[in-house]
Amino acid sequence: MIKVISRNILRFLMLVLLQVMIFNNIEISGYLNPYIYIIFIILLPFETPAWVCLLLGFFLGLSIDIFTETMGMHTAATVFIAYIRPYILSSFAPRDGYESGTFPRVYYYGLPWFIKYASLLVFAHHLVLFYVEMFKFQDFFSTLLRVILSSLFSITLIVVSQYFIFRK
Amino acid sequence: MKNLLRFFYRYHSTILFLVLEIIAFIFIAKYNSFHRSRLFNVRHAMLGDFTAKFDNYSQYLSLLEENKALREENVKLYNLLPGSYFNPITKYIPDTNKTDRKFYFIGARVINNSTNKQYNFITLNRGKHHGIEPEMAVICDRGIVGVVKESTNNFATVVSVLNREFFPNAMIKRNRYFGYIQWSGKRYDKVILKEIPVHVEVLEGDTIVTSGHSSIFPEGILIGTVEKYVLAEGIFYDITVDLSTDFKSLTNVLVIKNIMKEEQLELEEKIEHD
Repeated sequence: MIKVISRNILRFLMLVLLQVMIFNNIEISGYLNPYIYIIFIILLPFETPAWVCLLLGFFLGLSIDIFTETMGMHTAATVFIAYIRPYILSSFAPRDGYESGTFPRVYYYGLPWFIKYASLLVFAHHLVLFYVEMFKFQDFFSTLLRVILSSLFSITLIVVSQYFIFRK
Repeated sequence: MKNLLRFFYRYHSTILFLVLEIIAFIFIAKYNSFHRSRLFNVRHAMLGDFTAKFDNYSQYLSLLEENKALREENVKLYNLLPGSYFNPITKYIPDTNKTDRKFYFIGARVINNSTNKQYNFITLNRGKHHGIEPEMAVICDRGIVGVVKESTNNFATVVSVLNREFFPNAMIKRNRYFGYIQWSGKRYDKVILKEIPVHVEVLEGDTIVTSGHSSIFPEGILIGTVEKYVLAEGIFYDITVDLSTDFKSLTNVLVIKNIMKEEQLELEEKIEHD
């Protein structure tokens, strides 16, 4: 238990730093902004209570916001995916539920499951984030294109990270 | 209370979610000038619309009072008209006892009305207490209505123009030829102007007004416009007049008191005695 908590705190800090230092500087032709810090939400243990998940999402988004000077936008998007995560998890659950002692990772539930699960969350996050950032529906389709392309980029990075960093 | 707690327990994650999202949006609004200005516009559009709508509805609610106020205002203004004075040069002084005054207007409301009989009468909510006596003219903002027949302390009956026994004097405004008005008893929006000689030029659309020859109606109260005219009885026209007053929707009227009526009648009686 203590191990899980300390590991998550460490992951939280690492992901915020990574996002702020490296991935925020990646911007390809104004369309592709990968946001990988939500790996934190994706990889939270299955047993995490909903309210803990929401609070963690809130503080995660807030930390990113503080560094990127986009007060509130990442918070809104991250709180949103923290809210929908339990529903997505339960709808993708295996027939006999998630085994205790396992984590939502490729290692335990396979690549197709992980891609389904992660890409939904990433897409939802990017959707909220980009539209909140635009705050109007005038450029609806160009924003949607940004959402889709950035989601693809982020999902790719997150899946790849499963094989290199979060292997187990 | 128990149910409330259960509700909170059951939906705690949704409630927390909403609270956190609201906080996030407050941050967005507070720290991002672009978003703040957008929000201001949206709020302005929404609330502006809302206040306009609300204002509309509340106006409807106060229409009754507003009408009453307007009615009173109208009465005052009518009493100020130069035509209400015997000598129009008189300055506008709202003094009802002024000897110079000829007409005095009293506001009233129609509480009973009919248009479908041959002899139609109107009942008003004003009577002797308010100065209404028989033989007073009744008009509305759109034109002639009738003549007071009887009055009790608080009510008065009015012989409507739509009454086959009512023949007010009328004239063509353009050339001042006069005749009298008669209702055919058929349509509530048409009367017939009689006794206009055939040599008089009548045009469709000519305005017909009261002549002022009787001691009842002031001169120039609108009756209607000429719709068509036909030759009748050889030397007179029968002119069909479109009534300007809509008797079906009659609500607010003005009763006109001719203050100098007695004097005029007294003098005219002398001729008959001679």
